[in-house]
Amino acid sequence: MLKIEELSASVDGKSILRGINLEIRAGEVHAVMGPNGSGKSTLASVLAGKPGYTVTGGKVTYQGKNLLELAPEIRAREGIFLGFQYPVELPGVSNLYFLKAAVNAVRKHQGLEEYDAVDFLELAKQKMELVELSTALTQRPVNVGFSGGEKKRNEIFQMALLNPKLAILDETDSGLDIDALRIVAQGVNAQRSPSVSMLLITHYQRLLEYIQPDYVHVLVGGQIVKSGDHTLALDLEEHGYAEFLSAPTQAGAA
Amino acid sequence: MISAVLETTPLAQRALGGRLELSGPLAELRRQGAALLEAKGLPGPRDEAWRFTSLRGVTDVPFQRANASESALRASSTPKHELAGAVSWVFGEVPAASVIQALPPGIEFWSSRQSGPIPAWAKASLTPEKSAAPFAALNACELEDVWCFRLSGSPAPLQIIYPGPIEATPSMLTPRVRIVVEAGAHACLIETTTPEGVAGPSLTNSVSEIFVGQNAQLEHVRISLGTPQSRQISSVSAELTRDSRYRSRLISLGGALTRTDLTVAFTEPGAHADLDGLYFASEGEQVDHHTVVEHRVGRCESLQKYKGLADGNGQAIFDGIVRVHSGAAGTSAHQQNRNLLLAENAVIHSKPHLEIENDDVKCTHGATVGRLRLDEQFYLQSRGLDLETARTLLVYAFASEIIDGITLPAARNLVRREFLKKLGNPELFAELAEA
Repeated sequence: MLKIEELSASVDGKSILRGINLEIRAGEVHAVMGPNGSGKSTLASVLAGKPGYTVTGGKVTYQGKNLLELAPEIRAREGIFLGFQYPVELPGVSNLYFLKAAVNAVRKHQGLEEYDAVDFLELAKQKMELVELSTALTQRPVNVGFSGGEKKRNEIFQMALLNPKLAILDETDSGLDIDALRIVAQGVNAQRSPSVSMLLITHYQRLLEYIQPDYVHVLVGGQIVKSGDHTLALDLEEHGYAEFLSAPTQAGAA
Repeated sequence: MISAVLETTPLAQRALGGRLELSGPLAELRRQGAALLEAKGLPGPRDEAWRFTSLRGVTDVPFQRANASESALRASSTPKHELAGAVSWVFGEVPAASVIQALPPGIEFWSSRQSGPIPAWAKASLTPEKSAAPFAALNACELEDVWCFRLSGSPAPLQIIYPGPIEATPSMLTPRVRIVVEAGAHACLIETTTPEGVAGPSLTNSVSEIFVGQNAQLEHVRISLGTPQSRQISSVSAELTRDSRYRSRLISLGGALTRTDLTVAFTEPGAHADLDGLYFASEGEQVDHHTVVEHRVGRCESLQKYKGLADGNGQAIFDGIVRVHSGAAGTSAHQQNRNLLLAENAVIHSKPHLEIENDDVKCTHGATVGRLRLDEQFYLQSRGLDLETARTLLVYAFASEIIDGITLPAARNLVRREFLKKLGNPELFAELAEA
């Protein structure tokens, strides 16, 4: 599904990612954990094509294609979804209108028939139950006046509608209380399938209690310094990142 | 000085060159207008209030008076922007007595073309203002007709449509209206300027005077649509009396030059003015808003929120003054101007200022000029929308605060439709527009 080889990237001339290697096969859930400033969000941003990042080396292959040369919207239409840490507010544009435009852009690209308003509403109703969003909320302008938890639930609602092949969730757990976290996790878990891969970016192990990953990677100083199964997250919870931060290879890392 | 004016501004020269018709109810207005024009002339780049406004194509063109009734007739035979549920009249029409009689309850009309005694409520429309601004003076000097409406109770929304001239040669229309909102009335006024279909260069130099009676409420939506050859200069003034509420929404969506000067004066305490604006200048366009809020008495509140956009080499101006006069204690005045530049060559001047001669006041103002944010565009792109659609949605989102603030649904829909048309992507928003 996704193969990252020796990926290096910088922001404003500052090197952030320093040779990432990671392969995600269909149906796998990977978690990337790491301290603040380790490059977790940069990795998510580079994969989704956010402007402002310069890839300085390496390559990323997604379903046999060179991912890095695709425009962000093409990546989305090819099945990549990025769940944002800070979703954008769109006053005056209803959530459902926005999502219908998005879903139809993706379907058109994939050669599928576009939804009309009635069919789309039907589909949206099913998906909103998944993340316990009310109809009223989905008809409000995108993210305007939403609480932190509602915004994140809305991200997962969008993910459910867009039906991605690779979902990258960037700090989806940040700022969530325990109930919101449970709902978000339930929405994510419902979308796990042998054909859907996920990359969870998180600072804390908490999210992984609800969404059990197949693999956990520790990102420090722009490199993956350790990989393991879900028990690695538990070790990190107990011992923190100190062990990795003091490693000599990380001298000078952000 | 006079000769200098006449030499430099063919427009003033032409206005003063003709023989003024100084009989009938408009005589005093015309006389005073001509006197002011002769004394002060028309403004140029050295006038502070006109420093950023290019008057090329305005003062250097000897616009001839358009045939107002023919222009109105053409506009009313091809109605484009008439609002459902409103009484819509095209300025320049000469309404028959039976039409005037048939106005719904709460709307009375008087025009200076009517014979017979002038009703007391309309008389103020004929009293010249001693210190009229230059284009208001030009309007008075060139005047052919004054329309007055009196609104009382809860009348149907009133729409006045200003057409473009019918002529293909440089032509000018000088509409002048006075709206009197009676004490306790709840009314809605929509003014729409639509010089569409005009063949040649045109100037619409309008004056709108509004009086809001005690404890009355008026929502006033003014929509200026432009063409590459249209120049619109509008002087709007509102006098707010005790405990009245005035909501003004000035929407200017282009034109070679579209300038609106809004003056709001609080003359009795307890009044509230909520003044919003939305303007958009694209390639070859200049859109200006100049607001003056006069807190002459205390315990009044003014809120201003203007949002502007400029694309291509378009130029937009927001110039707002809030004056809190000495003795106007307990004043609350807030002014906010937010702008978005959509292209490298677009220009926006923002000049908010407060003049406060008093201690006991709450005043704030702020202005920003920014660009569309890459991270916001990226959010939309990451959902599969192309860059152009993403930008269009973000621009609409920016403007929607003002559009959604229009209370009358028909007026809100008209503004939304025209704004989306201006954005060049009306199909995409077919559903949005129905929302």
